[in-house]
Formats: sequence, structure tokens, C-alpha cells
Amino acid sequence: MEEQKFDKPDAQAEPEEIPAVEKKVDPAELNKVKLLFKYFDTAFSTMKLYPPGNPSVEKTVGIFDEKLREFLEEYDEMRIGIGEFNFRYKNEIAFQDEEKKRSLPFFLFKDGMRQLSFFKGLDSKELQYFLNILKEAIDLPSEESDAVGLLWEKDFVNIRYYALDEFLDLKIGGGDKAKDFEVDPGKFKGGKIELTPEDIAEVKDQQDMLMFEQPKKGEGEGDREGMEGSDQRIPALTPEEAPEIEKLLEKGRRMTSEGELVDLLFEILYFEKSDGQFADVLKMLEKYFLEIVRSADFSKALGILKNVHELKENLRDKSEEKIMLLDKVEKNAKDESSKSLLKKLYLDDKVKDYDSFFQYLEILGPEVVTVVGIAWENAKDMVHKHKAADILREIGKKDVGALLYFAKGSNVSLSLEIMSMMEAIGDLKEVHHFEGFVDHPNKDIRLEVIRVLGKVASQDANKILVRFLADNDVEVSVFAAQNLKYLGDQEVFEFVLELAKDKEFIRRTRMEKSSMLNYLASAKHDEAYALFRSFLKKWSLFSAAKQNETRFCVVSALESHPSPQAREVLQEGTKVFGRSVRQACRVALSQMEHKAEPQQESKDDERT
Amino acid sequence: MAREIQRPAGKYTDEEKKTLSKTIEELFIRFTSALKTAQIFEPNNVAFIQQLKPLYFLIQSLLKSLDKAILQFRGNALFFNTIRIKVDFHSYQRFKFLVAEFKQKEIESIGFEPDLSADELAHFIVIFAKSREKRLKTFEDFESAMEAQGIKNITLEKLHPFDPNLRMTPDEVKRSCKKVFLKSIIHLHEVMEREKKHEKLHFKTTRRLIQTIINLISFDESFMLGMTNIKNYEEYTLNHSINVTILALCFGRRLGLEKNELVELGMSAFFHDIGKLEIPLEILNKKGKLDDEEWEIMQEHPRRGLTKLVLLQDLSYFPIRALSVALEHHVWANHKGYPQSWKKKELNLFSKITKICDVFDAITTKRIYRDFSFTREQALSMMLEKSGEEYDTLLLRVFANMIGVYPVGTLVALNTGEIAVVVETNPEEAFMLRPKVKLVTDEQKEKIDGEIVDLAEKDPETDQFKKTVVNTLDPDKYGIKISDYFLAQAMG
Repeated sequence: MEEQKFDKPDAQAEPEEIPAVEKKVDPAELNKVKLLFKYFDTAFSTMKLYPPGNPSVEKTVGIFDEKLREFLEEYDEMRIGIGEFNFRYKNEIAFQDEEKKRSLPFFLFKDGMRQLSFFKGLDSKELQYFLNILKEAIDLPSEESDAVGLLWEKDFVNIRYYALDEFLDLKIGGGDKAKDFEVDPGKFKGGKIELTPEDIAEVKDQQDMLMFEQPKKGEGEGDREGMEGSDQRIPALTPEEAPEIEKLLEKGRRMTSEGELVDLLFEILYFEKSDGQFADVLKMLEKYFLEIVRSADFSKALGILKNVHELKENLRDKSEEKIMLLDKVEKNAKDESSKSLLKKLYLDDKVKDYDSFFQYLEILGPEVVTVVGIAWENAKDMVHKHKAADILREIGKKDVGALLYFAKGSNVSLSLEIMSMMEAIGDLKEVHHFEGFVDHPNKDIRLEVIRVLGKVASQDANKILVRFLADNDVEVSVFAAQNLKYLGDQEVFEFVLELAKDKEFIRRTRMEKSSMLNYLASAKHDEAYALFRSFLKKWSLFSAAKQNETRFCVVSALESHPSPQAREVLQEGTKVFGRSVRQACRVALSQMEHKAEPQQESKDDERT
Repeated sequence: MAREIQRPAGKYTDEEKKTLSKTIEELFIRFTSALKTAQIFEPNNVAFIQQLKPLYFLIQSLLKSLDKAILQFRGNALFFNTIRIKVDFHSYQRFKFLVAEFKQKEIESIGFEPDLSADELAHFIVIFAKSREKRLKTFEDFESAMEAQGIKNITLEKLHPFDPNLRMTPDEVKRSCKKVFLKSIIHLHEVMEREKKHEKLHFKTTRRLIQTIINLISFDESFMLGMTNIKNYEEYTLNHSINVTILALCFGRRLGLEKNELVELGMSAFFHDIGKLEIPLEILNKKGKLDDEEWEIMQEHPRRGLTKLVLLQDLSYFPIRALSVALEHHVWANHKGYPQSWKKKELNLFSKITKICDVFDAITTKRIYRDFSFTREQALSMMLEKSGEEYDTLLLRVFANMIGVYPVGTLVALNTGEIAVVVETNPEEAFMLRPKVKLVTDEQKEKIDGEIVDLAEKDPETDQFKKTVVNTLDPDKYGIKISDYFLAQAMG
């Protein structure tokens, strides 16, 4: 505690002026009081050390409470005289502690308290209330701590105290202004006041009016004069207006300190010309902003961020320095520690208003995608899940790379969810972000990526899709091949062609071969047809089944992508080794012609 | 009516307190009405009986449900069964009346027992109401009178020795008022000096000062309002800030603000003009009209004040509302005035209160650029003309009713030819035109250090009022320094 200097206050202010208490004290009574003071002191000490609710605090306070009430049952009142380092009971010193930092008497004495009384009827609740106030005073820094000041604001039923009125004398100097307040009463006498003619006239007029308006003897007091007079000059208030005033007070009370402070800080920031003061005030705002976020009040946090943004817009082209400082605030709101905090608040279910929380995440943007992901994965209910998904979608629209990067490291369900959003995100130009998924450990995700790339149908998408052709999982490689679309990209075509030319090609599964050959057929490329010819002609005893399977895939591919060259190859196929292959080629050719005929027929119909 | 609560007095939950509050309010109104009626009418008068009956039944009903019915006066507040009786502008005068009665009789509590009869209650009310008439000067006198009437089911408790109402006589209160006024100016000066040096401020002393002012207002509101007649235009900001603080606190009490709210309001008013530290003295003290540039600088002081307070303080110990007041005390109710705001559209209640008090004190003070001041009566008239535009209508009316038709410090001419200074307004609304005044001249207008007279007093022979105000006068015209009459009362 700070060093206190105490000049002795005027003698008349000392407790001796309080009506005299008994001088004699029963020794047994005094012993009880001494013990009680020890309990009081112990309770006070534990309160200083530990937070409320701590078992030691509850125990020591409980003991003091119990013993005090026992005492009051017997003696009605315990009146304590408070000395600088002691407590007195009926003028006997009953407790002493001269160590300022610790001393309970000093703690009360320094704030001007000189007597404290507890009365019979005191219950635990009231005593706890009293001790809580002492605790509040303990927790304040010494220059602000004021137990008496805090007690003043409260109502106690069974606790009274007396504090010096002259306390302020100890805190505020005398100064030389006192002489300005001295008055010589002699100046009130002597001399005469001569009213001005105007005042004389007015007084006379009023006196004349009064003569006519004198109430008759027996009339009620003030019934004519008072009410009329006040109505004319000052409109009287009616009982009906009492609720209006109460409303005004309640409205005033509803404005929270925090909210008001933030509003005020923005008022300063908007108008502040000095960069230095702007920075200082912004620092303060940021400090409160962080406290608000920590308290999980996101509707306020959201309001602040929006205002920061708006302030930036208003100050653009006016002050680079201020814009930079505001940018930093926005950036700090999304830094790693802020993100960790947001995650924790969500996971611990500390958020006050989830609507605002999600709006807050949305306004923070792509940098908090990990937080949104956590919210999605751990969503309290479907509403939260949908909100999180909406934000992820919005993030994807702004920065698909960030979203996909996040998806890569996420769990399967979230990654799949993100993939499913890709269509909704719209025109995906930056497909290179999908490259990272080629070796993703999860098959479903790889399949989903292939599906998305298939829908994109671009040369860049194809370049990634071909990489999936080497996937260990057949289903993946097949699906990739199925989603390949020939778009004139030679590089991809040649890659697939080389794969098909590989001697191990025939050992691939039927689906694999079918899809890859389909792609090659769709290219309608001479090299593809050359390959098809070689497949149809090739025959060997070894791997006959696989070879035939391949030949059938070729036939099917050619049939799916008819062209004169395809017809030619099939025609040649009707003459190769293997009756079933020859038959397949004939059927394919027949199907091709059949598909061509309806067009001819319709043309004939038109003629007729 | 209160529902049945099977619990002894003093142990109510918040919910129970809420339920009881309307009933308690009714009891308070009926009790004071019965007392006032008893002061005028005889016990067998119909008017008195009409007041007594519902009061009796209400007390009986409360006794049935609550076991006890105790009206208590502690530390300038009234309680019923330990529940504080809320005071607002509408009940303020009743509160003041009852508090004065309790104080005068040194009564701390009045307890009604279950066997209370209507007769006992009637006798008690009469004794209580007519105690002055019956010359019952002390608590013991009063108790004896009750015993003589056989009142057994009403118990009284005397004011506790600790009660502040016992510690000071009315004269001591006045001396304290003067001392605290002086201390306030010194303290504000110290605070401003620290601000100029950018030293950190601590608010413990300021809070205590405000609490002391509130205590003194509760003891003698009129005298504290009288102190606001002290004007020093050379150290205008200091004196003015203290006057505004006192006015605002009186105002806040009338509105029914809680204790902690009053402290915040006091601190808000105390610091409202701190921004003027940033305004060059040449502008503050300029005798003539400010040019456009100077006016623009002057208009900065609210925002400068806000910035000052925000940057120099640890706001954990400073009321946030005081920041709003520093910024908004020149903003009009219709949002004109200055400074203009960017986002903040809702004016803080304390800003509205402080604005009214600020303007009132400002225009009743001579300024360096204005060698006359308006009287309080004129100031109120001028302000009422701008009700709704510059000032909140309802708040201004509460303020005007507080200040009264003849505000404390008004120089008045009486029908007897005497000239007097209003020293205390009459708490009765019906007697707003009949304050207490201190005579400063005799009937021939010779200056005297006269007595204080109550203009509500009647001549028993004629049943006419002894003296009546016929006109208000401008003290400056006659070289009368109103504040001297108050300072003189506070000389020890």
C-alpha cells in the first residue's frame, strides 16, 4: 500500500464525539471479541490471497460469519473502533496489526473509517455482500482503492459505519482560495437600495394586482396562487409523466459502457487530425476490440470491424499513415493467435450469438478458412453447418486456392464438402490448385476432384486428369479416363496414346482400356486410328483373352465415335483373325449405318 | 396487494422486492398524504378519515403477509422492511417532507405491530403531523406523547449515533457545504494542473468529493443550490464546473438516479469542460466576439476533452458516461450544436442533463465577453423557449421545477416594501411562489442583515400571507453579490 500521511483531523471529528459507549467491558465478552477479530482478520487475509469460491475463503468467511452471528445473538451489537493499526472494543484494544501491507485495521482506517458496527439480524448474505465490497477494494490498485467509497454506494440493513467527514481535508490542500470565500457581514448593513424607476413601476403594478387577488379568510392554502402561478411560468409535471421519465432513465441505463466507449473512440478517430493521437486512440480501440472478442461478443466485434472498414473508406486519399494503421487492425484480427482464440471459443461453446459469430468470420474472409472449417466439422446443429458451408463457398469465390489448400489438409468429410462446392463457386479458372490432390490419400476425395475437373473440361483440367491415370486404384484411373475430354490438346493426347501403346496396356482392366480408348477415339486422330488398327490385327496365343478384350474395347470405342476413318478401321476389322472380333466389327458397322439412316430418312421425308 | 411471503423482514429475493415495490410506493404515498392532511385538518374531519382508512387497511394487509411493517430512515434514504423506497421526481417532495419529519424527531424507524388498531394509527398520525404545534422537540418527547395516548402497537427507534443526520447541525451543514465547495475548486485545479503535465490521474479523491457533495445535497439541497450563485469569471472554468456538478447532482436526485449513477453523473459534470485546457487562453479570455477561426477552435474543446480523458486515464476507474458528456455537452437535443458526430446518434442521458446545467450556469454568470448576467428566472425562461430543440423537453421541465419559479439566489421585492434573497424553495408544489427568503433590506429599503422568513406563513389574525413576492430584481443593478449571503450563513 502507498505511504499514507495522516495529519490529525480536527479533534471534534474523532469518534469520541460519537455518543459515549460503555467504558467497562466484561473480560469474557472482550475475549470473545478478540477471537472474532482474529476470525475477521483471517477471512480478510484469505480473501486477499485467493479468488472467491476458493475453499479456504469459504471456510474462513464461514467461521467468521458463524461466530459473529453467535456473538450478535448474545450482545445485539458489535461496535468496533478503528485505529490506525488496531481495533478497539469499548475502548479496549482488542486487535493489533502494525504491518501496513497486511493490516485490516489500516486498510479501513486509511480510507477514513473510524467505527464499524454489526447488528443482530445480520445474515450470511449481508455479511458476504459486505466482505465482497472489501474484496473489491482490495483488488483495486492502492491509488484507487477506497473501501468507504465503495460502501457508500450500497445499502446495508445490519451494518453501519462511521467515516470522517474531514477525510477530504487529508487529500485536498487548502490553497489560497479560502480568502475568496470570506465575507464581511458588516457589508450587509448600512446604505439604502434605491430601486430604478422601472422596477418601482413594476413593483407597484404587482402590488396592485395582489390587492385584488387576496384569497378570502378560510380559503384553502395556496389554492389560487400557487397552482396558477406555477402553471403560467413553469409547466408543472403530471403523475402521468413519471413513467416517461422512468423510461428515459431506463433507456440511459441500457446503453452499455463498452458500446458507448467504442462509439466514442470512433468519433475521435473519424475527426482526429493528428496521426500520433490517432495511433494512440486506435491502440486503445484495438485493446477493447480484443477484449470484446475474448468475451465472445461477436455482434459488437462485428460492428467494430465494419466501422474500421468504413473508416478506412472515409480516410482513403486523406492519410496513408492512418490507412496503414487501420489495415494492421484488420490484419491482427485474423492472425494466428486470433484464429486460435476463435476456434477455442467455438469449440468451448462460449459464443454468445452464433449468427454474429458467422457474420464475423465471413467479414474476416479467406484468412480464417481454418476457423470456418472447425465450425463446420464441429457444428452444433445443421444450421451452423449450413452457415459454415455458406462461408466456405464465399471464401471459395474470393480465393479458391485458399479454400482448396485448406481442403487438402482437412478431414475427409470437410474436403468432400468443399469439393462439392466447386460447382457453386462457378467459373473455376485456377484449376492448378487441384494438382495437390493427385496423390491425396483418400480415394473418395480423388474421385471427387476428378468429377470436378471433368465438369471444368479445360485443357488445364485434362493435364491434371491424366496424372490420375497412373493412380493405383483402378476405379480412380478409370474415372479419370472417363472424364478426359479431347479438347485438341496434343500433349494430353500423346500421353494417353503412349500409355495405350505400352505393352502392359492390355493387362489393364477392361474399364480402364475402354475409357482410355474411348478418349483416343474421340480425338479422331490418325495416330489413334493407327493404334486401333494394330490392336485389331494383333493376335497371339499368349494373353489371348486380354488381347481379345482389348480388341472388343477398340471396336466399342470406334462405334462410339463414328467417322469415315473409324468405319475404315472397322471394315479392316471384319477381316482380322478371330470370328467374334470380326462379327463385332460387322455389328458395329451396321450400327453406324443404322444411326446414319434416320437422318437420311428425315431428309427424304422433307423432300416428300 | 403483496402476496403471502412467509419470511421475516429483511430476507427478500430480488423477485419479491419487485413484487413489493408497488405496494411500498402506495404505502409511502398514503402515509405522507395522511400526515399532510393531519397537518391541516382535525382528526374527525372527513378529509383526514378518507386518508387514514386506506392507509390502515394497507398496513394491515402488509402485516398479514410479511409479519412486520417497518418504515425506516437511514443515511438519508427511506426503507420499508429493508427495501429502499425508490424516489423519483414525482415523489421527491414527499420524500423530502418525510425525511425532514424523521430527522426533526430523531426517529430511525416506525414499526407497526399486528394488533394495531385504526384508533392508534389515527392518534399516531396526528401526534406525528402536529409535533411542532404540540412542542414535541425531542425523540423522548414524542415517545412520551405516544405513551400518553396509549399507543402500544407502534414502536419507535431512535436515530443511531452513527447516523450522519445526527452529526451535524444545520449550521454545521452549511459550513461543510462552503468548505466542500472550496475543496472542489482546489481539487479541480489540482486535477487540471496534472492534466497539463500529462500526469496520470487517480479518481479516488474525486469520487469521495462527489459522494460528499451528494451527502450535503441530501442534508440541505437549497443551500448547495445557493452555493452555485458563487461566480468567478476570472477562474470561470473552475467555478463553473463545480456549479454544474452541484446542479447536475441536485437534478439527478430529482430524477431518481441510484447512488452509483449519481456519482458517475457528478464525475461527468466535474470533468465536462476539461477540453478547455487545450484552448489557447487568448481565445478563452477574449473580450470581444470570436472570429470564425477562433470559434472553430473553441468548438473543438468537447472533442479535445474526450481525447484527453481517453488517453490519460485507465478507464477501468473512470465512468465511461463522463467521456460522452465531455463530447456531447454542447450538442442539442435535435442534434444541432457541436461537435457533429460521425456515427454516434444517441445522446447520453448524462450529456442531456449536463447540457441543461451547463447552459443555466453559463448564462447566469458574467463572462469576459459579456459584462452582465441574466437572472436565474430569465435564464429559465430563455431555456424553456428552446425546449425540444436545444434541450430535452421532459428533462428541462424537471430541471425548471427543481429550480422553481423563484430560484434560490433570486433577489425579490416583497409586498411589504422589503427586498430579500430566496434561500430555500418551498417543497409544496402549491406553494411554489412562497419560498423562504432572507431579508436584505427593511421596508424602507435600508440594508440589513435580516432574518429568514417563510413566505408560506400566514398571519393568524387575518389568515392572510404575511409577505408575498411582487417582483424579481436584478442584483447587478444594485451592486448586490448574492453569493455573499450564502457564504455569510456558512461562517463559523
